[in-house]
Amino acid sequence: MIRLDQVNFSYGGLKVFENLTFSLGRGEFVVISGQARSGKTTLVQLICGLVVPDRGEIMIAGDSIRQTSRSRSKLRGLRRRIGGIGGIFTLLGDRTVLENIALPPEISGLSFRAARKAAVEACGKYRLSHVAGRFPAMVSEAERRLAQIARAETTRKELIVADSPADGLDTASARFINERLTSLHLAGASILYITSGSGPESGPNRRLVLRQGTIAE
Amino acid sequence: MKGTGRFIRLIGRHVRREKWISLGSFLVLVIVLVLVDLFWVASINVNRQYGDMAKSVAMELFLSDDLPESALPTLERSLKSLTGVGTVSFVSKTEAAAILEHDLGNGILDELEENPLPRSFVIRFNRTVSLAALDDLRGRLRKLAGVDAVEFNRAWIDRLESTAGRVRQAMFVVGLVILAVVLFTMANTSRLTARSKTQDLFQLRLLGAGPAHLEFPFLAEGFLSGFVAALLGWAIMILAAEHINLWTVPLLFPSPAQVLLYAALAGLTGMLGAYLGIRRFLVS
Repeated sequence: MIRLDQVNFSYGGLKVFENLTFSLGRGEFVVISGQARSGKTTLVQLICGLVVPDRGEIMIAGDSIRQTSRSRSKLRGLRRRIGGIGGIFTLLGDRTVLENIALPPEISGLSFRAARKAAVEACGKYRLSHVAGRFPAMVSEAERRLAQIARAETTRKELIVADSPADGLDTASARFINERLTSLHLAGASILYITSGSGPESGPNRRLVLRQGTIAE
Repeated sequence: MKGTGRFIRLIGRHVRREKWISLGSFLVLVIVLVLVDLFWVASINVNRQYGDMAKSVAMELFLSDDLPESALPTLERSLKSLTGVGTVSFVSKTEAAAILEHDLGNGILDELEENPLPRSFVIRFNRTVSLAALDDLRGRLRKLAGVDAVEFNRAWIDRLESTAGRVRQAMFVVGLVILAVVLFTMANTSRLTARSKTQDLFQLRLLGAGPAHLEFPFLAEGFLSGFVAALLGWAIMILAAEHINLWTVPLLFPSPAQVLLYAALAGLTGMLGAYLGIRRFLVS
C-alpha cells in the first residue's frame, strides 16, 4: 500500500530522512514509534503529498507520489483514499461533529441526505451522538479523535494514517480508539499508526522505530 | 456534487459563517454600484439632452439672385433627398425681411430702395449630426449651382460636442475606478474569509476536496454579492427618483434587460475579484 524507497528529505539544511526505506502492505497494520522531532509528521506529509522527497521514490497504492503531486485531480484522488487521524489532521472548526463526519462522503459525491445518514450511523457507532451537533471546539480531545476515525470509516478508506491518535488521552479513551482502529484493520484497511509511545498492545502486524532519519525493526 | 440544493447549501453555509465580512462588503458594493447607477442615469439623460439639442441644428443655404424661381423645386427635392435631412423650408426675400424686422425692429429696411436679403432654404435634421458631417455637407452644398453661401452655428455645435465628449470621458474614468473598487472589495473580502479559514481549507485539501468545496463557495459568493448589490442599487435609484422630485423633465432609466445585463456583469466582476482574492490559498 505504501512503499518508501531510499527517500531523502530535508527542510532547508536540516536533514530529516536519509535513505529511508519502508513499506506497508495492503491490509497490514504497522506501528512506527519515534521520539519528538524524529520526523513522524514529515512522514505523514510525504505520504499525503504535501511535500515531495528530495530523492528517492514514494509509491502509494502503486502510484508515484512525485507524479501524483503534479496533478491536482490525481492528488485529490490519492487523498480521498487516505483517512487521517491526529497530527496534521483535524476537524473543520466551522462545522459540527456530524457535518465533519459527513464531509468525506459528500466530497466523494454521495448525496447530502445519504452522507448525513452515514454520519449519523457512524456517530452512534463511535458513541458521539450526544456531541453530534456541537462544534469541535466544544468537545473533548478524545471525542475529536474518535470523530476523525468515524470520518475515515464513512467512506471506507483503504489507508488510515493515524498520527499519535491515542497519545495524551486517558487509558479508557486510548483503548477505545485503538480498538476502533483495530476493527478498521480487520475490516480490510491498511493502518499506519505513528506514535511517540508504544501503540496498541494487540492488532499491529509489525512495530518499527523511527530514529535519526531511518526506520529500524 | 449532485444537485442544485447542495450548491445552495454550500453557499449558504459559507455566507452564514462569515456573515459580518460578507455583509460589510455587500454594503460597500451596494454604495459603489449606486454611484455607477447615478452616473449611468446622468449619462443617459445628458445624451438625450445632447441629442435633442443636436437635432435643433439648422443649416441655411443662401441662394444667388440669379437663380430662377423655376429651379427652386428641383433644388428643394435634391436637398430633401440628402441623408439625415428632416425638413427643408424655403424663405423668400419678403419673409427674410419680415424676420429681420421682427428681430431688429420695424422700418430697418425702409431707407433701402430694394430688399437686399437673399432667398434661402433652411434645413433641419431628423437625427443627431456630427460637426464633421455638417462640415462635409456644407462643402457639398456650397458647390451646388445657385448657392451663394451655407451657414450654420458651428461654434455652438463644437462646444456641444466637446462637452458631450468630456462627459463620456468622465464616465469612462469613473467606470474604470468603480470596476477597480468592486474588484478590490471582493478580492479583499474573499482574502479575509480565506485567511480566517486557512486551517479549514487545508483540511479540506487533505480530505481530497475539489473545486466544489474549495473555490466554488467563494466564487459563488462573489457573483451573488455583485449581482444582488447591482439589483438593489437600481431599486434604491428608482425609489429615490420617485420620492425626490428635483427634475423638471421625467428622467430616463435603462431598460430592465440592460439592468439585468449590468447586474450579471457586476456579478462576474465580483466573481473575478473573489478568484483574485483566494487563488493563493488554493495551492495543492
